[in-house]
Amino acid sequence: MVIDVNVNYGIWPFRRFEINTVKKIEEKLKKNGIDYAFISHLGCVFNFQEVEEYNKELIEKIKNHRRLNLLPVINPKVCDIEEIENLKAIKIIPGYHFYSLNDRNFNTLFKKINDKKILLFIQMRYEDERSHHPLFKVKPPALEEIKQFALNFPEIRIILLCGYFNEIVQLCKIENIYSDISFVEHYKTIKSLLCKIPADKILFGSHTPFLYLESQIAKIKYAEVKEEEIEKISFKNFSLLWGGIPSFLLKTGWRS
Amino acid sequence: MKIIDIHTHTTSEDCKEWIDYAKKLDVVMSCLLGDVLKYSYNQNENQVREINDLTILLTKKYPSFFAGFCYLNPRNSKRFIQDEIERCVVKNGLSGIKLEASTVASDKSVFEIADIAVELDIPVLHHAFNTFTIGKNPSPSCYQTDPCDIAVLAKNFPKLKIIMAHLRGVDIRGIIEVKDYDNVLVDTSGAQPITGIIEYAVKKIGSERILFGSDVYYPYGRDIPVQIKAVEAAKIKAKDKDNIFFKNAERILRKW
Repeated sequence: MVIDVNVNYGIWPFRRFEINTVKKIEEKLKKNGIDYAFISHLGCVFNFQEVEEYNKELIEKIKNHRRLNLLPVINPKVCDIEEIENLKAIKIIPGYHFYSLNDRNFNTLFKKINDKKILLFIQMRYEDERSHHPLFKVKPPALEEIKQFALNFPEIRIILLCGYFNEIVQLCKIENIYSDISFVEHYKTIKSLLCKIPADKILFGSHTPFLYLESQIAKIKYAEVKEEEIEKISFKNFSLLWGGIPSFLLKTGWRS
Repeated sequence: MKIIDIHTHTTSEDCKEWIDYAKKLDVVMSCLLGDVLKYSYNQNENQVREINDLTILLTKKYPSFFAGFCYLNPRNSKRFIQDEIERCVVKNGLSGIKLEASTVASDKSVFEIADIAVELDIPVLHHAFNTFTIGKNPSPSCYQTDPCDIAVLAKNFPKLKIIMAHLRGVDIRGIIEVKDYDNVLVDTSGAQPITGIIEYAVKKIGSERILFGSDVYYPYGRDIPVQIKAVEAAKIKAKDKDNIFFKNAERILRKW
């Protein structure tokens, strides 16, 4: 069982994707043994005023694709707080939506996320900063800002997406911060990572279609760590954060 | 499929663990390029000699697994450079020359090294990256070579075999810059396993001009299976993968 918490759909203006339809994404996931994936629409990144429209568009596109579940993006600047009421997880993109996590104007929103125990995914980056378009360089959120945010809202379970090795080693020391593995790379990635932070803090995320899914699977396949640690990273940690086995897994017959 | 890894580094004299691991992944030979970051970018002559001492030691200690390139700082004296090439290549059997970021590939000091490389019929593996984004001089003493600089070197030395490092660092534009110079090959290393670039390179310059490189920096650096899978997963023909993984490097490394 593998749950992928970091999959994207849509057009990226600086790179052409071969895997560019929901059908192709699902086939790719299936071929590589991914049972379920959380997917967000890349339209939310640049058209930051209309993120809700892209979320709706993607819900419609994935409705017949049982492996895919929407991870809706919100932009705190234009978010209707009532609309997050029934969500279990959301993604924010502070770098591309240019705001500070610690902007006081967002306190009500984050308090609600805190109270409702909504999982909060923070997109650290989409591309290596060295690969950015020279006219479109986007800084990742500052580590100190994330640390402060995590301390201000200790009940919010934060999952970092596309953090680098050194970033997540620093940030995952904070109790309510977790991370995916998509941008983490080191000689023997997982083994090296687990020397620094416990397996309970790590989730599988591929960052498909930016990166080869096969390479991300290789991190686990050649991890040289205990099987129970692989299980935690592959799906158990996510299930715990979700508050039990996700209902969409139960519906399709997955056994814990 | 047998693999030769053309782009590796180490800080260690004991590489048995790495070799055993790499062999399990079908890597039959790795090319050491030296601990080039040990003394930042503008190493003095003693430091260069020390970097090469480790490479020579390891190629003698593990002769069936390691080839090595002679590291040089083009800003050192002409006499020292000549002597160091004589010591490393002629007397100790290293297979090529490695240049990093002491100066750019289009600098006249590199031309002097190129003359010797042509005379000895050995390749020069030169660091390169997309300087449109990272800049030419991002930190003191660090001079980043752009694919444009590689093209200048290639144009001036059509008989010199140049390996431009970091396909995923120079990206699509890097391929375009060097595609008209048949004496330029590229290695696949350089960043996360970004999709599409290898396919693009095969299409534009042919698989005969692409070499597999992991950029492992044992016991740090990149994750070898992650980098291997990025080639295996590319949508290219099996014969192209064989060229990239093995045949091209076999042709280039004289001692093989």
